[in-house]
Amino acid sequence: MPFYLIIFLFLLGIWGIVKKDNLIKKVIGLNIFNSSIVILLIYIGSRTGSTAPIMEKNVKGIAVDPLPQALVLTAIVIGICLTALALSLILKIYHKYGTLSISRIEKLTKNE
Amino acid sequence: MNNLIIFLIIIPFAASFLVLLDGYLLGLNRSATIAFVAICICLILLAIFSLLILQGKVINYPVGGWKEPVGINIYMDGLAWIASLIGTLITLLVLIFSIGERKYDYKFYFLFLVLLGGMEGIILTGDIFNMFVFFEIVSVASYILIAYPKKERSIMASFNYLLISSLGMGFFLLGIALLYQQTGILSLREIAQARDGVNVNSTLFILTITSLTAGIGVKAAFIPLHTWLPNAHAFAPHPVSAILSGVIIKVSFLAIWRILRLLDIFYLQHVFIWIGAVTAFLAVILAIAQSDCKKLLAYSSISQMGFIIASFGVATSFSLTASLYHILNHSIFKSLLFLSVGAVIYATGKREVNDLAGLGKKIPFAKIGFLIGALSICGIPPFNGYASKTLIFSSLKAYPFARLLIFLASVGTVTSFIKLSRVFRGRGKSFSSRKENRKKVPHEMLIPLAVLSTLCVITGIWPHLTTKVISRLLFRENLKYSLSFYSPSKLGSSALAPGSGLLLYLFIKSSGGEKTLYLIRKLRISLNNSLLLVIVGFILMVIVSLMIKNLP
Repeated sequence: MPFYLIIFLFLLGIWGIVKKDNLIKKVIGLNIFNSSIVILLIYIGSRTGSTAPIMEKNVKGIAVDPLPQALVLTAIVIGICLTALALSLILKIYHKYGTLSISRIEKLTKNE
Repeated sequence: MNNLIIFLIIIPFAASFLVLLDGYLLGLNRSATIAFVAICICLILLAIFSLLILQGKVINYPVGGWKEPVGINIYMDGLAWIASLIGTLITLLVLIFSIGERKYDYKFYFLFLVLLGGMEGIILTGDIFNMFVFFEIVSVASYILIAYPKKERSIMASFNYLLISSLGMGFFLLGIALLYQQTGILSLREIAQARDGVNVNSTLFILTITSLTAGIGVKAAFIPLHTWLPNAHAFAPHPVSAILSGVIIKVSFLAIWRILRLLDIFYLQHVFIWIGAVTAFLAVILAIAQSDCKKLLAYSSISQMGFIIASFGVATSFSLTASLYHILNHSIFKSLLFLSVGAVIYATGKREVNDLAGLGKKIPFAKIGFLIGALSICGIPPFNGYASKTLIFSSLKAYPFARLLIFLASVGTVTSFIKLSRVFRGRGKSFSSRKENRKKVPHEMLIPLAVLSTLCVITGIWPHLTTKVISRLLFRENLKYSLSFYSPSKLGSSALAPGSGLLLYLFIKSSGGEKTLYLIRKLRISLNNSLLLVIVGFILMVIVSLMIKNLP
C-alpha cells in the first residue's frame, strides 16, 4: 500500500511541475515530488524492523535502518533551501513582469 | 599527507565564510584577495599531491576516522586529480578576470568560493549521497550567481535552471534510494565490489542506473536535457559563464563517468555514443542559428559535450583517453572564448553579433585570445582541439554513423565560429559614434586570456606527451597508441572540416540561409515543454537501455 502511495505522489508531483501554469504551484509540485522520494527512502529503511534505532540495553526488537533517516534529514534541508530560493526568485519575477503565469511571461519575452 | 586532501574542500568553504565575515562585519573590502589566496593554496596542495598521483598512487582519507562503508570516504585518483587541477586553475584565472571587471561585491566572491568548494567535493567524494549534497551546493550557488545581474532575463534563466535541475536532482535522489535498497551501501567503491551480488541486468537495476545518469545528465546538458543551459550561460555574468561552461558541466559529466566506470555498466555506456553524436550534431545547428554571442558559445558548449560523451560511450581505454583529453581542452578553450568575448561585451556594452561587428578589433589581446580559442575549437593544427578531435575520430572507427554525425558537428563548429569571428574582423559600422561608450579594458582581464592561450598551444603542440600523461593518470600505466598526429594524411583530412565549414558559412550568408536560421532561432522551447523533455528523456533512456541489454 505505501508503495502505491509513493508512486501516486511521485506522479502527482511531476504533473504539478510540468503542467501547472502558476510558478508557485510549480514549486509546490516540486515539493510533492521531493516528498515522494523522501517517503520512499523512509519506506526502504523501515522494512528491516519496527522499533526506533536507539542503542540501549532494554530496547527490544529489530530496529529500523537508521541510515535512510539521516539521508532524509539532509534531503529535506536541501529541499527547504531550494524552495526558499525559488520563492525569492518568483518574488523578483513578479516585480519585473507583474504576473506569475509562465505562459504570460513567455509571451512577454517572446520578442526579445 | 593523506589528511591534507580534506583541505581541498575545507579551504574554499572556510574562505567563503571569511569573505562573508569581512563583507558584513569588518568592511575591509578584502573579499577578492581572500578568494585569490584560498584558490592559490588549493593549487599548491594539488601540486603537492601530484608527487603521489603521478606515481600511480591513490590518496584515501576516511572523514572523521569512520571507515567505509559506514563513513564518508574522500579519495583522489588520477582522474580526480586532473579534474580538480583544471577546475581550480580555471577558477583562479576567472577570478582574476572578475577582479578586473570591478563591479562585484563580497556576495559574488562568497558564492564563487562556495561553487569551487562544491565542485572539489563532487570530484573528490567517494560516497554517492555526499555527491548529491555537493551537487546541490554547486546548484544553489550557481542559481544565485546566474541571477546576480538582477535583470529580467537572468532571473528568468536562473528560475528555469532551478526547476529543471531540481527535477533532475530528484531523479538522482530516486536513483540513490533504489541503489541503497538493492545493495545497502552508499560508498561508491564498496558498491562496485557488491555489484556481483546484484542482478545487473534486472529491470530495477537499469531503472536505478538510468535515474542516476539522467539526474546528473541534466547538469551535464546532453540533448534532450539541455534546455536550461543556453539562457543560463548566456545571461550570467561573464566570469560565471566561463566557470559554468568551462568547468561545472564537465565536473557533472565526470560524476556520471565515475559511477558508470565503477559499476562497469557497458550496455548503458553504449547508449552514450548515440546520445553524444546526436547532441553534438543538433546543438551545433542551433549554435549557428544564434545571433547573441554568448548564446552561440553556450550552444557550442553543448555540442562539444556531445564529442566528449560519444567518445566516452565507446568505452575502450583509447576512447576514454580521447574523451578526457577533450574535456581538458574544452575547459581551457571554452573559458578562453567566453572571457575574450566577455571582454569585448564589457568594453562595448553590446552582445549581438551584428551590433558588435568589427568592434573587437580595438582590443588586440581579446582578438588574439579569441583567435587561438576559435582555432582550437575548430580543430586546426597545431592547437589542442586538433589533437583531441583526431583522437575522438579514431576512437569512433567502429561506429560509422556516429562518426559521420560527429564530423558534421565539427563542420558546423567551424561555421559557427566563422560567424562569431565577425566580432573581430571587418569594419565596424558607425564605429566613431559609439566611441564615447567604450570602456578601457583593465590589465587584470588580459592576464587570464594570455595564460589560457598559452595553455591551448602547449597542450596542442605535444599531443603525444599529453595523451601519455592522461592515460597514465587514468589507467596507471603508459598506454602506447600508434597514432601520428602530424602525418600528411592526417593533416590533409583535418583540412576537410574547415573547408566544408567555410562553404556552409557562404550558404548561411545567402538570403535563403538567413531565413532558415531565423526560423531555427525562433524555435523556442517553453518551460513546461523543457520540463516535459526531462521526463521524456529519462523514459527514452530507460527504454533504450532495456533494448540494448537484450542485444548480444
